[in-house]
Amino acid sequence: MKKSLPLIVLACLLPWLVYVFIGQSWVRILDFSLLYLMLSLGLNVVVGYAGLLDLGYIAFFAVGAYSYALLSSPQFGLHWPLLVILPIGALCAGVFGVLLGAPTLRLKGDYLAIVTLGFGEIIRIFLNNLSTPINITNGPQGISEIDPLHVGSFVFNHSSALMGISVPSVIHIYYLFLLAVIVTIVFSYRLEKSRVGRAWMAIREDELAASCVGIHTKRYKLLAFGLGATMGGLSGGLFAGFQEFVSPESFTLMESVMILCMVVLGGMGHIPGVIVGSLLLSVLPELLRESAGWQKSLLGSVWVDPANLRLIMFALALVIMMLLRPEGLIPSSVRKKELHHE
Amino acid sequence: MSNILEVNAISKRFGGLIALNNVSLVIPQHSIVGLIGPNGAGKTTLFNIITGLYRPDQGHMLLLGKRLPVGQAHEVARCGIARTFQNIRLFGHLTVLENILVGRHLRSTASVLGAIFNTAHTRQEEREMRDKAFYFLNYVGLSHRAQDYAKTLSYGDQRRLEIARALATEPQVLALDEPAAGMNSKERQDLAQLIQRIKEEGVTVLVIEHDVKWIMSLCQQVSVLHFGQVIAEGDPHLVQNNAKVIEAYLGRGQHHVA
Amino acid sequence: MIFWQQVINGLTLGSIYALVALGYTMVYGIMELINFAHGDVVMVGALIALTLTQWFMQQGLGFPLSLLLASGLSICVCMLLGWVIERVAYRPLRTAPKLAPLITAIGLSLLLQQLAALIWGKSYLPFPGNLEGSSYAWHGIVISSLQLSIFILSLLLMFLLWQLVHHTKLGRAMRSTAQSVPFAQLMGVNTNQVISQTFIIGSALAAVAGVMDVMYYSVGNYTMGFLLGLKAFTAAVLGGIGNLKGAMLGGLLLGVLEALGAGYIGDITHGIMGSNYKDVFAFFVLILVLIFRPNGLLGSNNQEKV
Repeated sequence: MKKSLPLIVLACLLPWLVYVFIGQSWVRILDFSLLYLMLSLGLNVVVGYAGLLDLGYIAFFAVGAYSYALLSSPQFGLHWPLLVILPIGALCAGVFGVLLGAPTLRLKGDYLAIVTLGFGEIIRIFLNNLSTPINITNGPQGISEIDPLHVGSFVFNHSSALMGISVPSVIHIYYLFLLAVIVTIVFSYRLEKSRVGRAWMAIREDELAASCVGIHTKRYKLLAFGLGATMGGLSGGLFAGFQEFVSPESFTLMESVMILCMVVLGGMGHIPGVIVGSLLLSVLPELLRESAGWQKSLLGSVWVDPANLRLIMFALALVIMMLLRPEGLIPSSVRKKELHHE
Repeated sequence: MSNILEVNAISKRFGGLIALNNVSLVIPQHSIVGLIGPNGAGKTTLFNIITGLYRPDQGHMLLLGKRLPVGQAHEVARCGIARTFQNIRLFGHLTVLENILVGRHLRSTASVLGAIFNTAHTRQEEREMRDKAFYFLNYVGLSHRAQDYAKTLSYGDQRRLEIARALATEPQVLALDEPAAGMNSKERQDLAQLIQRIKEEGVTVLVIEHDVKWIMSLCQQVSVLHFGQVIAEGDPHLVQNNAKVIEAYLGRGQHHVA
Repeated sequence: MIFWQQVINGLTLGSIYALVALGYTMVYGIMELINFAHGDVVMVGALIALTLTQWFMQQGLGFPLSLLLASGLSICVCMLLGWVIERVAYRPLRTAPKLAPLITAIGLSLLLQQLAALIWGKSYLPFPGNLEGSSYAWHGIVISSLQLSIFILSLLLMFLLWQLVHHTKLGRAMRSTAQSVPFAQLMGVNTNQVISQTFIIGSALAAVAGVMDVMYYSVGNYTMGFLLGLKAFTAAVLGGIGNLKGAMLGGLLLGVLEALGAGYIGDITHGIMGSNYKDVFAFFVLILVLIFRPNGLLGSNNQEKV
């Protein structure tokens, strides 16, 4: 823990450096990276620890986001406080996680992936269509005018003045998200080193042998689903309050795949790997998004749609990564040791 | 001597194949019992039923006079039966120590909340678990490999780690599925000694083995399975000369087991 | 009347699903891998056929000839694509942990979609030519000649595939590879070649299904492979993955279920849910099958070996 102190200091200074030297829009990208990091840490519990391949993880993010949106917007005229809705959203997502997990417990690997993918799509289709006969989700238009993230009279989404320095809203949000991320990391780390974490990893390694040492495999798998979903729901709530707008478009399969890739790219089941993976994959594609400029200066015109290019590079990275370094960029030290032995 | 485990009239069928037909066994407490028989006799199937991996079609089992749950491996483990596997099943990407710690699962209580808030109780328990785990590692002579990946161990060490993991659950009955497979005679001897020691600590051991000689010298009682039926059981030397057993192993026309 | 009309529509749709499902099931049967990119091969096949038909027609060829030439070329391209996919992305990972090939498969699927978006753009492209054709009415049930051709051609292809798998040397090699790769190798089967050929055959069927799909809906788009692929996979699972008959049966059944579902969901739910929920059916079917009959309708029940 002591070794991570310089990292925390750096993380605290980072938004100011970025704000001063690059610009506000990049601080916003950092905010999103932190959200993605939270999601990756949540999915890491399901995929990395328990070894359950979940391709519909974004659904829990959606449940959290819509819970926030419905309880804190003109949609139903409710404006509940943040500290009430965030836990409610997380809880709802957790319940969904258990509900979706329960029927899939017997499934393995690929089958589980496809079924969770199906669940994710079902939730999105419902979000898209639950505008009739009673308007709950407002359909594809989504829900807007959501209350911003606020505690008491302090609104994170508005800039403030601190000792004469004006603090932009994106930096408030950054610190809020950073706090959430640090708490998530500490919890994840403790889980990993605990009886519960070991039970998950035992299931991942050999489910049958795990049950023979007395691990109630079904219960622990459900626990992983539920806990992972809860973490997803929490980030969903933060997302809704940050954006002040949600629509089904934000919760596509692509997003689930993206988060899975973040977990896999750095090194599954290993927190530093997950951190590096999600930061890389949320920041690098943004650089490509800005490629229109250099395409123009280099080639004379925009040859490849930057959004397109971003996804192509992303897909290539996935394939090449798996072919060249399937254990991830930063595998755990034990795994490195293994590579030395062999 | 009272009986720790009673297997009563177990039958199991896979499609058209009758794997076990009305099998009954009695395992006396504090003993080493051998289960032998030709390939495909149903030994592993019986193990899988006892340890809750398969559900029997008929019959039931009693552990110290109490009905043993069927088809629920984790419940059977909780009742006090631990096992190893014919084709070693360790948690390969966990360390040797962690493998044992997983074995301590039933002997610890930390919950999710306890873990994430790192409560005093959790920390205390974790310390005790580690001490206990090293006790079991020492017991099988693997404490120097504690931090290594389980899959990096040699074959013999993997067998011993698997036994230690089973012992870590503090079972009443330890079921070993072909523990001596692939070992040379020196390793077999060491293993026999280890099993003796385990028995002396008060654990009843049930062993599947092909090597008749090895098992005859190790066990107090032997049961012979053949085509899913028990054809002989009792004192190793009597069983060894049982005509049906000789026939099962050597076919008709032979009269002595070498 | 609506009932039988929906059954007809469902059978048409279902025969397309079945063709795609065969590709999934063959690959899964041999390598235990869900070839996620298979749906996108269908898309590539569809869009190539669409563009080429248009091009040939602009060169002054008649519609039927253009369609035939375009389909033929599209099948060839897809076969090549299937071969390349297996060679580059799956073969090196054959002994890797299960997650690795699954992730490359997802990556490939995304890559194909994005490349297609680059080539064909993101808007919906209309299929050229007049596809109305003649239709046959019988007691108020209408069957178009397109529907009839799709259905008959699918059955024919399935029959040919069945003959191939059960009565040729390649088929024998495929079946033995599916049983056990090392065993097949011992018996002198070149399993690498067999796996390649399986991908090529599956991709050819995918291309045909793509052409059918794009004609049936008369539009094509770079995302069309995703949902189609998912439904075809559902069909394969429904029938029992790895089982050819299962894929055919599962495809037809899923098509009919979906069509009936779309036709009746409004009545059943008293108008609360409309046909915009029709895509949910496939997923519900998939989940129900996996819960209650995880080995599919025609699958065998195998327990994990200990």
